[in-house]
Amino acid sequence: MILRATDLKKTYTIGGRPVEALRGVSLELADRSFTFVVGPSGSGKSTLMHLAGALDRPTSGTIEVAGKDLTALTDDQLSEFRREKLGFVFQAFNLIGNLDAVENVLVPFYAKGLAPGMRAKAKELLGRVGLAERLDHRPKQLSGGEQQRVAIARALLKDPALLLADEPTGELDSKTGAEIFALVRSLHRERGASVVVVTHDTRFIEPGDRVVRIEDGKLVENS
Amino acid sequence: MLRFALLNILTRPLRSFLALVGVAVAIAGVVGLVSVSSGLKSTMVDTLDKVEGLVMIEANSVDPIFSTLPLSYAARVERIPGVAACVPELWRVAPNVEGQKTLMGLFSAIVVLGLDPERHTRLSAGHVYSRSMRRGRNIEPRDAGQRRVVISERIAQKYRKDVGASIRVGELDYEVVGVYQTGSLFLDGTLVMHLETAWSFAGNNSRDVVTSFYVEPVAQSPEEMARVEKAVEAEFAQETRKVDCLSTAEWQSEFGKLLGHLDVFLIVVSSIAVIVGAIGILNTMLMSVTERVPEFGILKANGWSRGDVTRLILAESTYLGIAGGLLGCGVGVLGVQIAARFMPFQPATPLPLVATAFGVGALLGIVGGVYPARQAAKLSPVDAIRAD
Ligand SMILES: Nc1ncnc2c1ncn2[C@@H]1O[C@H](COP(=O)(O)OP(=O)(O)OP(=O)(O)O)[C@@H](O)[C@H]1O
Ligand SMILES: [Mg+2]
Repeated sequence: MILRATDLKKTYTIGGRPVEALRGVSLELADRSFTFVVGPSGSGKSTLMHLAGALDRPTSGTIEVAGKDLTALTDDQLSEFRREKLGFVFQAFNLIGNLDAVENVLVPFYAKGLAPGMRAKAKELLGRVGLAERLDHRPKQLSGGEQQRVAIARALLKDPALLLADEPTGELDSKTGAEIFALVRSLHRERGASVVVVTHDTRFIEPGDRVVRIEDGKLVENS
Repeated sequence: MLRFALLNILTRPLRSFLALVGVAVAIAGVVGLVSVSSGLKSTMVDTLDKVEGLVMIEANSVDPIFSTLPLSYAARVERIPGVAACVPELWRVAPNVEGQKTLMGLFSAIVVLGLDPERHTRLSAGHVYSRSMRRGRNIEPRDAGQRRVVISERIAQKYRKDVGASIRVGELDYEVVGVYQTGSLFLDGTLVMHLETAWSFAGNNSRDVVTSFYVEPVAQSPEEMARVEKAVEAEFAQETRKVDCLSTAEWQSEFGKLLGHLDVFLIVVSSIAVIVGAIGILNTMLMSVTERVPEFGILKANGWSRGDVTRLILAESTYLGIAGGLLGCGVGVLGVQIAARFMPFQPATPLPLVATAFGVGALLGIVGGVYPARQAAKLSPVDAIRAD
């Protein structure tokens, strides 16, 4: 089981008023699964992704990812877990403006020091996502689709157990979006990482995928 | 990570430069001030090493210029066992020389010393001025009441006067009979004349007061000096005009006190400079952190811990501090070199000072970076990501 959530709740407080973003979500995702999270805006999809991604802590309930109970880990352990086990692709602004493509792929490991061979691997991965010619380009010099590819290459540098993508094609035209999905799909097949994608675009769903629908902080469909 | 930190600084050149200038100005100022003050200190120590006897002045008058003592005290001092000679001196400020004001600066001030050459011959080592003659001759008994002076090499050069020339001091012309050079900044601002001449210069009609006495003990040992000093002070303890007898060591400690004040001043100024420098870095780093909130979100989502983010920001601010420190040292040392040409003494820039300034720069960077680093580190990754 790559992910197991039990009665997961997340309540934000804005100006003293509680906002229940998730109100008791229980969910199990199998290893190597490909899952779509769909639902209306404000339903809690991103909140769920952040909890699964160890970026935030639930108000109550438990969440286990890749065999680790995230609620039991310290902040530093969560950081390490993200660095070693998780890949993220957000809707936009995934990259550091000052760094070129290769450096953006490597940046998760800057703080702790690069292992030998990582730089070569980063270049190879950028080639794999079709950016062999753009290694030393800064984010500004890359299109939206190319930026998403860099983020994907970065996620793959560590062989993640779980790749989390929150509307990765949200800012892309439909052709580029399809290319990105094709890329994620092929990497999923090759690498065997579990993938969870939040999207409004249901045309990429294939038979065998899990589809989870959230409305108003609750799971309403789980297939 | 260090390369990344450097990159982050270099991509904001203007702002980084401003922070750097803030630190540099602070450090240059400190380097300059400390250099000047240590130059001043060694000058004073030089001066005091040249004066070996005791100076007797009116109690609590700080300097011979402000002191008045009866001439008759000399005889009483000479009767004290252990005293070889007691020589009267009359010190006056020369308000202008050759029609030019001399009180413009601390170092260009010229003073007049009136001495009694007959009594001076009794000094074993001679007077500091008579020991330092370069050309011409000393003041002699026959100069009594004559308008003749011995001047220093510095004064000679400044006013283009030499032996045989006449120099205007106050309202009157004096004949230059000799030129001395002690090499001390303070001593070399003195015009030496006969005591009789000096009395008229000072407008004193009463010829029975002087400003001070130069007392030479028989033995030069510190213990003997201290003993004579006590004895002299005790001799006049019952008088209305009491005396202070100061040895070189005491002058040094008096100057030491003065320099202590100078040091306090330096510390205050340096502290202000350091605080200003730190605030400059703080401001720059805070602005940078505020602008880069999404960036920290990305870093944290990708596995950077709080500590990692803290170290990044501290590395950036330390770079700024060190660069500012280096620049400030460079500018400070250069400035001191240039200023040295216009100063009558050599400012000293000791190497440890440069090292300290460098260290202070780095420290400033760290201090200025702590708060911004905390701000960046405590951002929750989710807030940082949502901040887009
Ligand atoms: N930091 C926060 N503080 C307060 N409320 C929040 C915060 N983050 C999310 N919310 C609220 O929680 C709810 C769920 O938000 P979430 O971003 O998870 O929705 P979403 O399904 O991802 O929406 P979208 O499709 O628009 O991205 C919303 O009502 C949102 O306003
Ligand atoms: Mg969302």
